[in-house]
Amino acid sequence: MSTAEPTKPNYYSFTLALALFMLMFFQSTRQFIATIYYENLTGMGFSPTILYLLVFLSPLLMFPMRAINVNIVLLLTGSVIVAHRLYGSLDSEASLYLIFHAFVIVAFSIYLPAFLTTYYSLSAKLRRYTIPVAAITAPVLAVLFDITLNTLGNTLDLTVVGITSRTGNTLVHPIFISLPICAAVVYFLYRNHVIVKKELISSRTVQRSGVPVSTLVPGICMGFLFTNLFLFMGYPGVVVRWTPGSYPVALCCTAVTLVILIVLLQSKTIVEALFKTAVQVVLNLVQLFVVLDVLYFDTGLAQYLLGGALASLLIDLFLFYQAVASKNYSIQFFIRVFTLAIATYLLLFFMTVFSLVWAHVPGGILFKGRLPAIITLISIAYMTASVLYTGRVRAFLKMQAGVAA
Amino acid sequence: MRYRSEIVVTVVALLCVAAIVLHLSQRSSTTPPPHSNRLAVMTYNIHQGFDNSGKVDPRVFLRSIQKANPDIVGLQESESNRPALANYDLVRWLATNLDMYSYYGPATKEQTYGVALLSKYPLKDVTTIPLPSIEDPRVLIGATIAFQGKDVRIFVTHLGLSVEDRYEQLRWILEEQIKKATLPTVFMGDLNTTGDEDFTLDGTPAILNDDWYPNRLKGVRERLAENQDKGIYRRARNAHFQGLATYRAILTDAWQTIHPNSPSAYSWFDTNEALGRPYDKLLPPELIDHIFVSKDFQVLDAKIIKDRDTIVASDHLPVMATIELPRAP
Repeated sequence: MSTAEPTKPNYYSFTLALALFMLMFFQSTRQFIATIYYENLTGMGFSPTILYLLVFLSPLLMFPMRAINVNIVLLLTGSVIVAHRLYGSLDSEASLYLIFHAFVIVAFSIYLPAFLTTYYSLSAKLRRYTIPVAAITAPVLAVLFDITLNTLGNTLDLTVVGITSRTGNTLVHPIFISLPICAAVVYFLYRNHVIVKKELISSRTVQRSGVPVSTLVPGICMGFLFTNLFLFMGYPGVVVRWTPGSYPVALCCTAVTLVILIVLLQSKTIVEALFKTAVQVVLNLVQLFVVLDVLYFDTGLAQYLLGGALASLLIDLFLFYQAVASKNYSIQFFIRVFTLAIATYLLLFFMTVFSLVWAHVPGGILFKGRLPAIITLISIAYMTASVLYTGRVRAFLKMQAGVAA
Repeated sequence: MRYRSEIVVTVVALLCVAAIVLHLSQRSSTTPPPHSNRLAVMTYNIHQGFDNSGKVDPRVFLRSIQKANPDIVGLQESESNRPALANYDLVRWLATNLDMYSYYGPATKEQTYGVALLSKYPLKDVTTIPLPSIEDPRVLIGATIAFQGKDVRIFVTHLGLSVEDRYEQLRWILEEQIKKATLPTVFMGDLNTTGDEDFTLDGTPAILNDDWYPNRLKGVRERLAENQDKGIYRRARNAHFQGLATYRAILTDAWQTIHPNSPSAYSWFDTNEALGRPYDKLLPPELIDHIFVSKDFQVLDAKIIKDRDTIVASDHLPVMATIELPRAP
């Protein structure tokens, strides 16, 4: 365990708040995209609801809000996410379904850049290696929560079907799950608010230096990574439908690996070792093997290695935004990188859809049978980039650790 | 406390694993197969898991199946392991909640819409066979069950939308699977064809008799145009293959046997009509989901299940037949 100084605040509420907000974002994104797919491509044509996808560009809304106290932004957007997620568990009438998920997505898109900027600004006040520990742990926990809720719902996320929708007798009423989750989020939100207010003299979005940063490569690579995460990597149950495997085996191996990662991440020595180029090469090779196994090889090893691959993917996610932060952790760069990432993901999402319904969309023939090749190419691209960023990130983390000490 | 953050995060993670392991260990094993001399078979296109209002809510499909209580269910559009379909496993979800055995059919990467099988009887010799397809890839899945001491072969499929795909697929299944089957056979699915579609026609058929609804004309004319453009009628005539009429010479059409005069029956309908939205009145509801059984079976009942749940669940209604193997004299 890392050596800690008693006067420095515990950061678990930052980690858990980010993890739960990410979970809510994943859940809403999943339902939102599925509903838009139904409204459009199942009818083999487009309807105005396709415009709802523009909500994914909402990180841009943070630009005009840069001058606002970020602590207030965090509190407001966090409250919006919780309120709509809770409301969604109470009432899921079809007419409101898209709207409440859209609110969650918009609010999270504003929350995330504000959170990261605040968090980096706070890093000197927190304990050593807090940033990598918490920033990797949060998405790993989010994926673990998601896998758990999907398992408890027999592969269906049991928190997304509202209790006032048609009465069902097979699922636990989601409110009993959603309510404690939302209550926990509210507590973490309040605790973070108090810490930020106490520790940060200026709560304005901080710009570390005037160094311009290219967000193009990290943003696009993050979009590639999201594609793999949402396509199959984040879902053990889905992986064993793409390639042979046992559902309980894939599920248990993945969950146990993620927990081991979380435990290991609490050690400063392990975190330092994690950012060695050789370690990153090995982890990304495991990840690449799982992608190729799912798409081509069908050896059955993917079910055992998925947890390792998922861990590698989530560390890559950290490397991409850390690559930006290591140059300059101004909010505008986080906004750019997340907007690029989401836009790239949406383009690739359409590609995955068109590769299925190619016979019914104009130009669909271009996508026929191309899904495996495209996924392989984007996987190689983002994994290579993450390995190349490792050195820069390692140097920055060492510097941060020195400041914190 | 010095390590409070580490402890809190680790405990939360461990709780997740405990919940997963506990849930998996509590799932009951599938119950033994029923001891009945009757077999209730159902074919149901489950609309990729969306109800007709566009929500991912599989509970309505579950209730539709639960109420009918079939022994075997052939599912179409069952593939939901994709980001566009909310990434949950509809087949596993239904099988778990119905306590049935399941065969998932083609892997997701095969890029089909999914064909699957649920059964109260253990499944063996399961197989997925790709069908000749020009448009979307289509498959036939097969499995064998032990029923009343005999093996019974079950086939499920979802055929293509174009006339050419449908013609080739129907013919291939008949020649390569049905005619070569040595076991009592059940063949069912969303065949995307009506019982009266005749591939050998190259001109307007006698469709204006009393049994025809005028609004069916549009669909019939479109099919005939494609038939003529691609010369399918020549291939069909050379092969002496009309369509489902040819199937009826070899197999028993469950619905036709019980309801020989029911031209207005339908298993597919425009969901907009059900939701009270504007809909295309020239796109009439049609009976395109069928169950055929080999002559070994006697058909006792056949029904299209239309109720409060099925009408909001999918654009297809479940079609069900009750059959039995007559005892040897």
